[in-house]
Amino acid sequence: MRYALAMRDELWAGGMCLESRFECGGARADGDEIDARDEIDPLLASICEREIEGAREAAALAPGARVRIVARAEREEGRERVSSTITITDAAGVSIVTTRENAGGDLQRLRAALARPVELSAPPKLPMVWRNGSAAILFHEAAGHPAEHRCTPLVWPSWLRVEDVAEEGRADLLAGELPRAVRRESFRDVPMPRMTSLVVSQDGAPFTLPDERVEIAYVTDGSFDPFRGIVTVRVAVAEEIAAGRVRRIAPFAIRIVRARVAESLLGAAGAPERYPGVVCSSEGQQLIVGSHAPVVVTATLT
Amino acid sequence: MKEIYRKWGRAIRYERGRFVRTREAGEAFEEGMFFEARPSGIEAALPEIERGEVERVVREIESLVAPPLTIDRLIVTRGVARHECEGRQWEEETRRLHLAIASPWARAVVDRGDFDLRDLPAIVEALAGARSERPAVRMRLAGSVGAALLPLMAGRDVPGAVIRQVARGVDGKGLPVEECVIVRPPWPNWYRPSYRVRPVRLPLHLRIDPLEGHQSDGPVAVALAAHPEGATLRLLCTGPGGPFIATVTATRIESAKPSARWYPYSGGAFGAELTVSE
Repeated sequence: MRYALAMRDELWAGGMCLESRFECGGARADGDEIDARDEIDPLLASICEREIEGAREAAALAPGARVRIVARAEREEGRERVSSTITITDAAGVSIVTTRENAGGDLQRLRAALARPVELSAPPKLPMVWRNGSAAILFHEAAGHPAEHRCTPLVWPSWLRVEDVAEEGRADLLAGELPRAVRRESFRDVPMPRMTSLVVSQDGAPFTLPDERVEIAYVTDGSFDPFRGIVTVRVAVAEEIAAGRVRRIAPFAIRIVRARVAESLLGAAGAPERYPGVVCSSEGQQLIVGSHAPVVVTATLT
Repeated sequence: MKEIYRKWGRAIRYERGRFVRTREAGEAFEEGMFFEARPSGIEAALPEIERGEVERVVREIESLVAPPLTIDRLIVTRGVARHECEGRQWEEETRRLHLAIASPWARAVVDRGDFDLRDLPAIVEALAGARSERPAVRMRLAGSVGAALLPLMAGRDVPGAVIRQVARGVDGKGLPVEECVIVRPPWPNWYRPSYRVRPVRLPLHLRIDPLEGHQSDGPVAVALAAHPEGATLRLLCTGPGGPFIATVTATRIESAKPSARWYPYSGGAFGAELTVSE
C-alpha cells in the first residue's frame, strides 16, 4: 500500500508569515513494516501550493490574530484528497478552526461573542444550553474518543445519535463502533482509526429552554482520560441568562466522569449546526475533525 | 542574517504493532522572525539501522506484561542523524522508549533514553498490586521519577535545590552545551527536536546537586502514573502494606541524590533520587 502527502503549514501573526513548513514524502507498507521517506511528489506539491494560495487570503481577514493555515494534498491507493484548514486564535486566546469559505462569517461571530465583557468569575449552577454546535465537543470527548478506545458503551437517550461520518462509512459512536476511516497526520505516522466528522443529531428529543441557564458558545479544548473515564471540556465563551439579564462568564472547565454526560442530557432541538473546531490530538497525531450538533440542553456539569 | 540548518536521519520506530523505517533529509532557515523548513533533496550516506535491537526490546517488554496488565502504548525508536548548522557538523545516535502500561486500577508511564530494562520488572510488579490510592504529603522518588521533575523545577525558586545544566555534546545549533547553574531565562542553549520545528532556548541535560537532608524512609515512587501536571505528580508507589497510587504536589525538595543515567524529559535530565514534599 502506498501513501503520499504534500503539506504546507504556515503561521501568520500581525499580517506577517512567521513560520512556513513544507512536508512532502511517501510511505509504503509491507507486512508489519512501513517505509517512510522525504521525497518530492511534484504533482501533490503543486496541488498543495495552489490550495494554500487561496487559504492565505483568510489570514488577511484577521491581521491582529494568530492564524495557522494548513493545506494538504494526499494520495492513497490512487485516490487524491485536497483540504485546507485555517485556525484563527484571537487576542483573548479563543480559537476557531475554519475553512476558506467560512472564515469570514466564523470570525465575525467569534468577535461578536467576545465583545461582551466578562462579568461572572465562575459559572452558576444552572442548566447548560450548548449552542453554536458546541455540544459536538462534549460528545467528541464523551462518545468519540471512548469508541476509539473501545470503552464499554453507556446507556444514552433514545432520541440521540452521535455518528462519525467519513467517505469510508458511518460509525455509531454511542454504540462503541470504531470510526471507519484510518487516518494519519504525516506519512511518517502509523495510520489508525480516527474520527473524520462527528455529527450529533436528535429525533423527537424533548426540548424546553430553561428560563435561567448557562449558554455555551465556544470551547477552548477538551480531552478524555480513557483510564479514569474522565471527560474534560474547557469552555471559552459562555453567558448566564437569568432574571432578564445576560452576563458573560469567565472561561471555566467541566471535568466529569463520562457517565454523568449521559445522565445529564435533558433535550435537544433543531438540525446539526457546524461548530468551527476541532484540532484533535491523539497518539501524538493532530487531525482536523468536523463537528456538528444541534442545540443540546444538559443539567449543570460544573 | 539567514541561518541554515540541515539534517539527515534514519530511524526505526516501533509503534502500534508496526516497525516504521524513516529516512529524512531536510533543511531549515531562520531569518529574523521568519522560520522555514522543507525537504532538502540532498542525499547523505548514513548507516542502515536493522530492526533487530528495537524488536528485541519490544518482545522483552511484551513478555514482562501479562494480564490483567496491558500495554497501552509502546514506542521504541533507534536512530542515527547527521546535522549541519552554519558550518558546524555533528552526528548523534539515539535510543528512546516510551511505555504506558495499564492495569484495571492504575497506569505506569515510563520514558527512557536507553534500552536498559532492568528496572521494569519492579514497576510491572508494583502496578499489578496497586489497587488503592493513599494520601501523601512527602514522597521518595526513584531516580527515573525525579528526572521527570527536574525540567519542571528548573528556573523556579526551590529552596536548597541547585539544578545545573551539565556539559554534554552540542545543542540544536551545534553549539557546545556548557555547564551552568540554571537560575532563570534566557537559557544559554537551543533545543531542536526536529528540522521541522523552530529551535527554542531551553535548559538541557539537567542534574541536581546532592542535597543532604531529611530522606524519607517511607514509600518510594517507582514510576509516574500519569504525565506531570505542573509540579503535581501522580505516582506508582511501593511501601509497607503493598503498592499504591499517590498524588503529590512537589513544592519542596528535602534531599537529592543524582545519578548518571540520562532521561529524555524535555531537553534531557539525569536521574535524581529525591525526597519531595508539599
